[in-house]
Amino acid sequence: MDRPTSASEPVLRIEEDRWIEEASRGDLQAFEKLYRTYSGRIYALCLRLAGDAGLAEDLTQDAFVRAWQRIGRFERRSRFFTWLFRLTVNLAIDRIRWETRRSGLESSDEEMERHPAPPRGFTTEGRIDLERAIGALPPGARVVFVLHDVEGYKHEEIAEMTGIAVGTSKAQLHRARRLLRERLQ
Amino acid sequence: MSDRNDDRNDLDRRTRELPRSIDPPRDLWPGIEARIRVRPAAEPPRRKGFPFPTWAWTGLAAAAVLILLWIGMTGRETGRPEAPVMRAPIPATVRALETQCMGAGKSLQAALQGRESRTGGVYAVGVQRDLHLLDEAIEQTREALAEHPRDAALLRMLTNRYQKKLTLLQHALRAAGEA
Repeated sequence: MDRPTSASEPVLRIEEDRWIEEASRGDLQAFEKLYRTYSGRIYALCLRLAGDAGLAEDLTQDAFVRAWQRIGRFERRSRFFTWLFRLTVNLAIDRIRWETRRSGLESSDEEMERHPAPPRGFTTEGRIDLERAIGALPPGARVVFVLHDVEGYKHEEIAEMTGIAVGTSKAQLHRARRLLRERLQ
Repeated sequence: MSDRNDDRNDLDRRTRELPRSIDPPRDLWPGIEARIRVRPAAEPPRRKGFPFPTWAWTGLAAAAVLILLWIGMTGRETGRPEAPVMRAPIPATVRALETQCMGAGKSLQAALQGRESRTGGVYAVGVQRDLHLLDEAIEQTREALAEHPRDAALLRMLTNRYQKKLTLLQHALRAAGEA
C-alpha cells in the first residue's frame, strides 16, 4: 500500500526524485533534504512505537543511517516515504523485541499499571494524555494500535510487517483499544 | 452499550487528531551525518530476479545460522582480526565494557558447548541477529568517533551500545544455563 504524505507536508515528487537520485550517488546534502522532509514523521512513528523519547531519537537516527546505506536499492515502486516507513518499522520492531527480552517484561495488561497514570479527562491536554497512554501500552498491543489506528495500515499489512498472524493483530488491537479506553475514562 | 460506543467514538476521534509529525526535541542530523560520513557511497542496487528458489535460500539460511551460532559468535576469539576500521582512542570505562563483553561472549560459548541442539532454536537465532546488529552499531559509532573524537554524544552512544551488548550476552548466558 502506498500512502501519500499528508497535505501539511507538500513535497514535489520531482524534487524528491532528484534528492533520491543524488543521495544514491553519495550526495549527503541531498540526503539531508530527505531527512529534513521526513524526520518529523519518522520521529513521531518511532516515539509512538517505542513509547520512549530517548529510544525514539536513537531509532530515528538508526533509520536514516540504514536508509542512507540502502538508498541505492530503493527501486521506486513505492513512494520514498513508504519505503522509509517500512524500514523504520522493521528496525523499531527488532529493537522493541530486544528491549522486551532484555527487560524480561511480560506482555500483560498489568504492565500498564507499572506506568504512571496520565491525568484524567479530555481537556486541552487530551492529546498528551492519549500519547502517554499509547506509550504505556504493552509492546505488542502498542505496535498494532499505532500501525492500524494511527497510521492506517490493514491487519494483513501489519501481519506482513511484524511477522505476526492476522488474528493476533486483530486481538492485539482489540486489547489496545480496551486498555486505552479504560485508561482515558 | 451506548456508553461503550461513545467511548469508542471518543477514542477514534482523539486518535484521528494526533499529529502525524512531531519534531524531535533536538536536531538529530549532526549525529546521523557523523555516522554516515564514514560511508562515502550508498550500496549499489540489488540484482533483480536472481534465479535461485526460495527453498534453497531457506536451506542455506538454516545452515548459516548453525555455523554462525558457533563460528560467528566466537570468531573474534579464534584469531580472526577485528574489522579494519578507523579506531579512536576510547576511555577506560568503555574499554572495560568491551572487555566484559568479550568475557561474557566466552562464557556463553562455554555454556553452549554441547547443548546446541537444545539452545539453537529461535531464541539463539534472535540472539545471534541482535548481536550482529549491535556489533554493526558499535562499529559505526566507533567509525564516527574516529572522525569526531570529541563528540560526547557519540561517546555516550558507544557506551550505551556496549552496555546493551553486555546485557544481551548476560541474558543469553542465563537462558543457556537454564536450558
